[in-house]
Amino acid sequence: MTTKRTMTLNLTEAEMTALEELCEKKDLSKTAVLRQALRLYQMVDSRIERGDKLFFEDDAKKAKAEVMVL
Amino acid sequence: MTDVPLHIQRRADGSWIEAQILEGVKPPDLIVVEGEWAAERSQVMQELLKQGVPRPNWPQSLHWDWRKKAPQLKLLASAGFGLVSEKRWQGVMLTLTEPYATQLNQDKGKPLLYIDYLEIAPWNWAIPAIGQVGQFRGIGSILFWKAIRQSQEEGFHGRVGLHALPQAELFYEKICRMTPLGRDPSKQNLLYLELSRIEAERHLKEDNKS
Amino acid sequence: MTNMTKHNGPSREWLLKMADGEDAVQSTSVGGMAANLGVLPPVAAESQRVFGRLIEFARRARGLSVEQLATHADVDLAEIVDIEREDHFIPTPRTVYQLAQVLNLPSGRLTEVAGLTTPRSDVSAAALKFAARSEPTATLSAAEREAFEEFVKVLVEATDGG
Repeated sequence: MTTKRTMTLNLTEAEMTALEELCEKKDLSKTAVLRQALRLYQMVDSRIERGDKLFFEDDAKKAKAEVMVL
Repeated sequence: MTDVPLHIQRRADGSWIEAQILEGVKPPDLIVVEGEWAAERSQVMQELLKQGVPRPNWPQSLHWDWRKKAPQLKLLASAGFGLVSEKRWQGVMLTLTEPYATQLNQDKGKPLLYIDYLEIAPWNWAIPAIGQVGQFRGIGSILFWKAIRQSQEEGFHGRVGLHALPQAELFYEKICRMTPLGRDPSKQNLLYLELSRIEAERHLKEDNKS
Repeated sequence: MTNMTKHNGPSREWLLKMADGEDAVQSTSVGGMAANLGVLPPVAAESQRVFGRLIEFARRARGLSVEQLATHADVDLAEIVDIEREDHFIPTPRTVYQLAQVLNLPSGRLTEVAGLTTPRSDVSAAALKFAARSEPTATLSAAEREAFEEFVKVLVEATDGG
């Protein structure tokens, strides 16, 4: 196994609630949610840095909006 | 969890040979893999040409180049796994934990382990048309098993998704019991399949029982 | 293979059952890396990569820059760059003919390599062998030169013979 390190997170009430809601919705532990969030954030960041753009597409409304990141 | 050391079966005499599943495959490893496999692939190609085997019957993964995948392995979301035996790479698998999510109704939107690439060494391909029987059996199955275990370790309950090459559709649908969810125009129209949590648990139960 | 973790695998019984299934099908390959599937006929896709390599090697063997080749052949510079760098680029018949003249290659066989006409099997075999052995580097290594010369020989022989 890869060595893992432990850290303490200071979250506001609202942040903790959001985290718990995501845990429930995604059926994941808190650590797993944060790990997924970090993976996605890094992936998006590396694509943006390469010059790619991030879009949200709404099939029903035929709308496409660029997401401004960073 | 059963704790059997991994062995793979040699097709020629049915003997079991020691093997290892390696985690943490890195870009330099992929270059080694490509070095080992490219020469072998080219031999297979020449044999197919010599025997006049029609192109649609050729292995569809004949012209993959693993080196092109190396940069992706820098991302946290990606991981590489190898199956090594007799000091050779018998199979390789690359996975992603983002940005794919389950499409199957019962777990829609929940994360899954996406198999980005899975390939077995050309000397393990069984190509009857050129009389090649393949050295080791079940390499693809072991990597598939590893994907289920990895998905569990990630907290994804064994859910797995992948785009199968046409020649491999039958394997993932019928043998691995994945659910086909339609062709994907963004992936060369390959068939997208998912392994549900229930089927993943069934696989591991069958593995444990034995 | 440093810093890698070794793991145990599935039970033999499970594996045997799955391996039987695996034997009954053609493949277990996964992924969209087979980029030409359903987009281009595979033979053409394979050919074009070989064609790009061949042109690049022939140019370098003659000590020509991309610009010089474009000028001599009266072909757009961008097209030469595309031929050498883009696997799926399909050159026009005129370009293939012009390049054949400047690089002293048989134009009929060259159109086969370019994927514009169906290649003879000996040309295909030689092309694949060439593709497998060539790497785009600045100068031709001895091995590359040998691979290149062998391929050209087959092209010329194919022309003479048929």
